[in-house]
Amino acid sequence: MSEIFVIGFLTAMIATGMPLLFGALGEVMAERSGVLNLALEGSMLAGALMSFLVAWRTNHLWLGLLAGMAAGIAVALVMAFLCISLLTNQVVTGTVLNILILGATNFVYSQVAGTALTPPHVSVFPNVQVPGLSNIRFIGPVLFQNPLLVYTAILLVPASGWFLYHTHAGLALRATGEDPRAVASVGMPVLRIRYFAVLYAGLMAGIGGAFLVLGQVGFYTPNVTAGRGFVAIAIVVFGRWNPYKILGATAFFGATEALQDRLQALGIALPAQLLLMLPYLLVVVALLVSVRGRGEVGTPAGPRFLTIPYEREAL
Amino acid sequence: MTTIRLHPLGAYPVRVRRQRDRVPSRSRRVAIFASSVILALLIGALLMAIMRVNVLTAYKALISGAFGNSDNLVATLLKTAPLLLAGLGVLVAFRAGIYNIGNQGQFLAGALCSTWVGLHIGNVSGAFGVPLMIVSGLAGGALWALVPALLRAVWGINEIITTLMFNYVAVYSIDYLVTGPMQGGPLGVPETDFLPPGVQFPIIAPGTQLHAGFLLAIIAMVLIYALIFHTSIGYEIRAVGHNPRAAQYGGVSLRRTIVGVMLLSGAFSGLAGMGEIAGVHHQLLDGVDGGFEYTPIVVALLGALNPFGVGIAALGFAALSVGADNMQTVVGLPSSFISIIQALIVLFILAGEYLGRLTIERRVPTPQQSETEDAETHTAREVKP
Repeated sequence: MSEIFVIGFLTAMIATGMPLLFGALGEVMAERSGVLNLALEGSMLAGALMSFLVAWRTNHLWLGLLAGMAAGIAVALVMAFLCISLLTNQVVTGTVLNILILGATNFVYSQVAGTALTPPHVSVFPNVQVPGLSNIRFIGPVLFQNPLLVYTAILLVPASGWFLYHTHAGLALRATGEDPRAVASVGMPVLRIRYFAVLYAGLMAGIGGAFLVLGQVGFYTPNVTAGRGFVAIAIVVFGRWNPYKILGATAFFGATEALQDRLQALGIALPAQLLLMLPYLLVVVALLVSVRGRGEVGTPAGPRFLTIPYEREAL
Repeated sequence: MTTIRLHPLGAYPVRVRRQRDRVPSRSRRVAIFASSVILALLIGALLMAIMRVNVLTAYKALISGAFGNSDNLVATLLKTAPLLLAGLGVLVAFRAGIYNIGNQGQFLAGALCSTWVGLHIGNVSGAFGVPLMIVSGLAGGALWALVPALLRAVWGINEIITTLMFNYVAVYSIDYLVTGPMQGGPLGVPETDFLPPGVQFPIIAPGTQLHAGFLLAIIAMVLIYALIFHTSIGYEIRAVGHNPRAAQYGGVSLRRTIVGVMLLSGAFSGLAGMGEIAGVHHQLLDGVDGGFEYTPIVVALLGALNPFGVGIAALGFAALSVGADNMQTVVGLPSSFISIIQALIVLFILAGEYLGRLTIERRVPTPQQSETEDAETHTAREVKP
């Protein structure tokens, strides 16, 4: 294998892994607070569409990114309001919200850009060379010639780890998912913590969706996320709710997606559909591998109060 | 229990209380349902107004497209059958608290399995062919649910993610098969050969396309109702859905129940897929699941996980999607418009359930009263999604 091939593969791995990493780093906070935010897929899709539309119309990539963030947060806000304040079932709410966003994005895209003869394009985020480091052989092109968002995401991993394990706020967040009553008993606002966590997940998913469109391809197709939000949720499980392990899990899934395009270049003839379904199959395999021993039936691993709404005591 | 104090009204303080486990009364549920539908349609009207579409013309086109003449009515009923069958599948799993949202994959597996059987069985009479198709559809859907079921039952792996991932696997598998090994007919068209007449569903209303799958769906609805509410298995399913630990303590095997409901759930989605093959397309083709990807989940929730409710919801959503096609030709609104309305209805109902538990009291109850009330509501608990 030539060096160029390996460099190309690793660069593609980082690019395809980015939306997943953003999504997973957001979702881990929501799940640590006890909310299974299935609407992550919806946030990502809404973020992808809105960032694209704004970037296309204004010719400003960063404005597009902001719009993507806002759209991701907006979806998360609905999710948070319904399942934190109105105590609805998180799985049901997330699923229905995803269906809503799928319909809404298809509708908006068809109205705004569907009539164009050629699908609209935008330029993608430029690569930023890290001075001094980008010229190192092999490591330079892979790690230090990426869009700014890539560095952000990679720095977010230790930042998230530090936040979760070395700050009071992180402790409160983890405690909220493990036992919200204990958190409430020391006077901390369980509901507010959960709101922040879910909105943060929406923000991250919005950025992930924006990167999917503005960082890689430069155009939008209906349902462009194609389940990446769900893959990000699976990565959180595979990474045992730990940001560092999540980075490893993301690299694995980024690699499988990057491999798709390169197997044929290597002369391995497999049906295209088999390669396309590979990441989804690997999610299932990864979940199986990450099981430690026989799990207790009915209680999947994770924060103990995951998916259980918290209800305040009587005033 | 949350108690919110409002401003005193007259001489008496008024309290709005939300009762934890109180199930909203029937009249309240009807009110929530009606206001959710109206609110969703109003938002739809607002969207139309923004897009400068005549609201009345659009909604008139929607209704006449769904029920306007006998052809439209048949089209609505044709669409009701698969929605109802797959919705019943979703219902069975959700009732047990098992979130099988892989109905799309199981639908496709049922369609694939029955197509394969139908193409290889040769010329048989309908008396043999039709039951065979039914069995193969059930088997295909159940098989597709088997792996997620075992993963959940044995290792506690979240079935939401695995069933979803299996949807994508099914979509790409079908795409591979109809463009590759199973491709038939004109070159390059992603579809299989046509099935022999013996395995096609008979027409039940002469002169129309209404096929026996509709009857099958109605029978399935009654069977599921009987299963859920009038058998000990149904009782166990509901018990597990309500409180798995308590059910286990009472002697219910969680593993068996989880695998059982997942297989049953998959089987009914598979049956829906088979019905589309044997009754409508008579061949397997790309996009055979169009319109049935997520709608069954919404239908099951809208029907409040009650089989007859799901029947009504399936009819309503079938009418909406058939009417939406007409709306598209008349006023040019894309069919995705109606999926927004469908999802909004269910979201409003979800939110409305919270409001349905609020009670307004004209006076502050004494502590004793409120305690007895608590005891009553706790015993009156019922399984709810």
